[in-house]
Amino acid sequence: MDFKQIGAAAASESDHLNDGDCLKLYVVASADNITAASVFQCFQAELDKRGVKANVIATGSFGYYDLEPLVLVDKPGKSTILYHNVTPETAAELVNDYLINDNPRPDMALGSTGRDEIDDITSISALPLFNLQNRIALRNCGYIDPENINHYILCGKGYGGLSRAMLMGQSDVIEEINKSGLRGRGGAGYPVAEKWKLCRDAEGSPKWVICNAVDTDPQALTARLILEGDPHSVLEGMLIGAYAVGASRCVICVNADYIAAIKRLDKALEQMREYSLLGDNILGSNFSCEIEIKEVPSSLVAGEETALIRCLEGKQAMPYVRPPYPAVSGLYEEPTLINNLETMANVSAIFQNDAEWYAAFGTEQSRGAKIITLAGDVVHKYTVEVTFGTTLKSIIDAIGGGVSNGKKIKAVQFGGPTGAYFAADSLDIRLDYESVREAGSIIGSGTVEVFDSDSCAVEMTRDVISYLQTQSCGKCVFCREGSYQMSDILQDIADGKGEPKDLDMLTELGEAMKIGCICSLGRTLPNPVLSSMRLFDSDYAVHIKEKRCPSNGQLSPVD
Amino acid sequence: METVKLNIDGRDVETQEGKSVLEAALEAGIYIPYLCHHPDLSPNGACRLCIVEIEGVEGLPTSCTTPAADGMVVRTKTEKVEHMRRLAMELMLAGHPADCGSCNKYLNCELQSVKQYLGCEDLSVRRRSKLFPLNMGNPLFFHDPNKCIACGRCVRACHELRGVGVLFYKKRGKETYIGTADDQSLADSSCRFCGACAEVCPTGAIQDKEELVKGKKRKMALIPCRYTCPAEIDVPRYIRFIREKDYSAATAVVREKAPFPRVLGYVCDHPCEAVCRRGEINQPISIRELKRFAAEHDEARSWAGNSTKKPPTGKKVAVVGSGPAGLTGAYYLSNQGHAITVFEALPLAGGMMRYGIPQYRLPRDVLDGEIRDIENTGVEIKTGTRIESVDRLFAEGYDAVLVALGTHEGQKLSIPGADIDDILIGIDFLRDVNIGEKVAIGKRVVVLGGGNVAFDCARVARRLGAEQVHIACLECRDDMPAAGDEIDQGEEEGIAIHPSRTPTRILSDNGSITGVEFLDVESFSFDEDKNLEIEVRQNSQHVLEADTVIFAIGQRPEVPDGFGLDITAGRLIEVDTYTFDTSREGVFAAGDAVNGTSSLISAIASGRKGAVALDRFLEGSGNIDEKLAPQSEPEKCLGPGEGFATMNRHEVSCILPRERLESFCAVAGDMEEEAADYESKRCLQCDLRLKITPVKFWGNY
Repeated sequence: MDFKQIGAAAASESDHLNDGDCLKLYVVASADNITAASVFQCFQAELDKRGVKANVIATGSFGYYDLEPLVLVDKPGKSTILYHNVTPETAAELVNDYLINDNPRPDMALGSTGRDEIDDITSISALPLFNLQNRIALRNCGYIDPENINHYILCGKGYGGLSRAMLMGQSDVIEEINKSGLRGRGGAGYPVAEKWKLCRDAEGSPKWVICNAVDTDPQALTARLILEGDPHSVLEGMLIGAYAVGASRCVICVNADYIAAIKRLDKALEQMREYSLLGDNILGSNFSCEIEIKEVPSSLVAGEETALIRCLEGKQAMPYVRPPYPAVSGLYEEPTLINNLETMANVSAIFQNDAEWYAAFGTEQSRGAKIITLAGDVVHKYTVEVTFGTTLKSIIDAIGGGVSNGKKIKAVQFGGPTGAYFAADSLDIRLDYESVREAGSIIGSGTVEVFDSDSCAVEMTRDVISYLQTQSCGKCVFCREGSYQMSDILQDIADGKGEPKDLDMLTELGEAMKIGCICSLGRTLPNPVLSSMRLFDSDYAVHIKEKRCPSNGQLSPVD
Repeated sequence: METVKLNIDGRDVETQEGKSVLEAALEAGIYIPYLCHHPDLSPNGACRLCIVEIEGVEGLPTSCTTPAADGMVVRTKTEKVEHMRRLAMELMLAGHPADCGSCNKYLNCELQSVKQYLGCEDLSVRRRSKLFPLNMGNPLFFHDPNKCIACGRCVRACHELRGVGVLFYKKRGKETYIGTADDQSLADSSCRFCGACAEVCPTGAIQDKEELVKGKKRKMALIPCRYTCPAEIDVPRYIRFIREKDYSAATAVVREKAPFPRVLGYVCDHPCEAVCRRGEINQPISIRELKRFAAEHDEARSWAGNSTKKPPTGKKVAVVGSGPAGLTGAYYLSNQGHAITVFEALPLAGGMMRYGIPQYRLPRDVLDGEIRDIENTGVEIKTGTRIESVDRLFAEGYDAVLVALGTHEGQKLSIPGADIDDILIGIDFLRDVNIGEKVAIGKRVVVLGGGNVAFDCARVARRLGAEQVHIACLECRDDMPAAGDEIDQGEEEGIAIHPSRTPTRILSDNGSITGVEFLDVESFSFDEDKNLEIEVRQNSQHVLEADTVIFAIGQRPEVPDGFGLDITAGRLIEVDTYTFDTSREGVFAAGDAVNGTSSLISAIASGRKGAVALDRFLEGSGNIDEKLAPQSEPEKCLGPGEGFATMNRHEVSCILPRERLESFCAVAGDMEEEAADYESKRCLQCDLRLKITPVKFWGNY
């Protein structure tokens, strides 16, 4: 089958998607949203009962968890309306009121999208949640049925990227990536084209492609969102990568507890095979490639690429010292391309469009967009995707809805648990690799954790370090013992048992860990400690000198 | 292999391509401290002690993980490096017990050595106690996680070196430790008890159990089977060949130390099994049975082809006595190129192997075959020739003499009635039976003595038709000197054992024995002059009725008057313990005649030592060792050991007691190949541990 034939087959099997006269309802929610399933059933039952012909489609989440289940109603000839927090009762009302009686129920609507405005319903393009985002990796999430490859093919030029890449030849594929400016989304931001080149030029066979689709930061649910909502965007990216470096074996690593994601991946692979997008002679070419799913236990260190390789080899998930880099000698000592799933979803987008299209987004050094998850003391804990260069403040305010309970911000930790803190006065920092690094932090998992003005810097640092201490794999001495010492010292300071020299020791340990640890988990682990000591030295001073916590009562919270 | 040139601390250093910077430095005598590196294991980069600065390389790379490259400029002792190194060491010591002096690894501990090198006595980091319980629950090893520095050597040894893979990094609360899956016991976790973990541990975290190693030499403690064997037969090696189904090579291994592999397979008292480390887990390996199996399946007889006889030296050697010591000495001396004549007083060669041990324990064709092998090397055996004096031998032109007379003179107790004519001496009784003479024996027999000879007498008596056979001995049941299987088989054959008895007189009626009177023994001991002192229970006289009484209470050498050698107070031939010299130049002595009645394997070992001494006297090298088996390197990767710990010892089946008593046929049945394979797989391969490269301490650089 070539790509044209696949497109034709998809169109004939899922013709309703292209049919403007067909009424379509999308129930948008995470797989673990219990209400969504009953809403879905309710729609079907109600439509049946009322004799309305419509397609009801279950999709993955948008990432706007507190609005789910969201329902998109695509009525022929009308703009699409998004309804939020739909229940089985309101679903029945919608069928009656809007589908049958043409009352769009503005009271239940979040917004509309399409050519025509609908009275009393805002266009979503006017909502910051939508207009501040630039969804590239998340482009299809919430808009397609993740269990139906035809949706991916028909709604989003799916596998057109692979088809285009395979017509370009290996070198041009890597050049296209180079032109796009894509950088790895695993956290460190290494140029993707460099890694691909290294792997393509490495000798060894078979070569491997590993997609790190593990959510290791428990606050960031990026992998779950993409795998549940649009697995093919990742799988297509992996095949493009495999084609470019000459790999014939791919592994996608998923959290073992992501049952729905794994089920959807399974289904996706099965459907790819039917369309000759997997196995021998992909798209009728000489390119043959297999993809297998590997479930890995959730742990922070498993996100580290060398630890992940060990895990796939059946060994303990522990990092090892590079070089050799995995691109040269990785899984079973064969050349191995490891990219994060967000990277892969960007790759497929780049080839479905082109490098120029992609490079137009973002900043000079950081092209495209980044998936960000809001957490902590923020009103909306959403997962969104924003163009590089967007400020932290705008994300928190416009998308996150500001600090919960109307309080002020004390600090924001950016990049996941090993990211640095930013004080309230430095939140206009632009999120791109260079700015974040200059500010002493990392893009990391892209998590934005907000701490309100009631928080104590000592306590929040202690909490994150004691979590990180449990996540240290224990292999290298600076991470294992350094984090232990830090967590003990922070606990003592929090308990009013700290001494001034403890701060010197925290600094010494932190500086040593930054250069002394084997992997990036250990090297970034001191970030919260060093940044909180720098930004909130008065919190530490109050704990140490006055033996009390600045946030609990007597002392007014630090602004 | 390409040579790589680099500069370390201002010195130009050469090494081979593929070596790490650490290895290059250590080879050149430049010490870089390390703990997680081990010459036999993959680099880990975890302890961070071996960090260095390399020109053009960012940060402080670990020298163990950095390949040496041409033109590299390395500095190992910069201020930055030394600061980080000390901090790494302090962090490792933070949770490690501070008191080195109370640790049994004291002065033998790599951690302590590196700590001294770095001068980390006072810590700037916080000390803590890890509060792990000591794990004493496993056989062979004890684990003190508090001493662990998580260097991961044991984990790599377990996974990479041995392929067993039961040790893992684990976390409990905030602490990292090394443990098994679900913290199972080693036995339940498929451990093979190879000891590689304990061998590579740089601290006292995983150690051999103290009671197994304390006060013992390393080899004796770690490969006790081999080094407890008087002849130091390489037991693990021949068991390995059996596992590989190369029975000929296995037999050749035995033959490197003893020319009687098959005889030993039947009657060795196997001191190796008593110390076998597998016995700590469940039961020892059936080493003797495996040896017998191999020797009986040595169709290829590869040893014969590999054995080399040195060119004739022109020297003549007389060996007096053709027992195990004499024939062993003769065999090895013959291979050294000397012309050997063995003189035997009795009609056939073999000594106690023929005239002491009954046929049901050692079939005669087995013995004959191995004596023939010795004769085939050119040894001449003159039987029925009693040597009365060594002088005559020198007069006949012999250049040296090896005396191995054995102990053929049995003893009696001087108790009333001991001089009754019909009383039998155990060793004489056995000799007569073995020669085939008719020996009159009553229906009721009492054997006095608790050793193997006593049991041989008792069991022979049963086979000759005695209905009630009693054994009475001084020792309590647990201390009886006879081998366990002898006692068990004797009891199966209906022999009644009466331990802790001392006979006070032999009862008779008109010159015919009617019984033996005994007292119960509370305890006994020997005084300074080796005189026996017995404490008896008052009023415990009792009688065992008997028609025949056999004394089996020990033997002495039968040295002819005027033989020409000094005799000890215990009437043994006097020799220098180290040189095996007797009082006469050119005369050496070995075996029971020197040591007193002992085991077959001791006699063989003694014969070898006598041969070494005699060869040196004749200006030979004294090196009688032969390489008869292939010198193959053993496979060091063992693979997972699921169910390994619970594999029970295979016991060889014996024919039914009822059938045994009908003849002198062999009691022990043959081992099946499947059983031999199974039993050989039970071996812990303790010898592999000594193949692990020892780590040099910094003082040695």
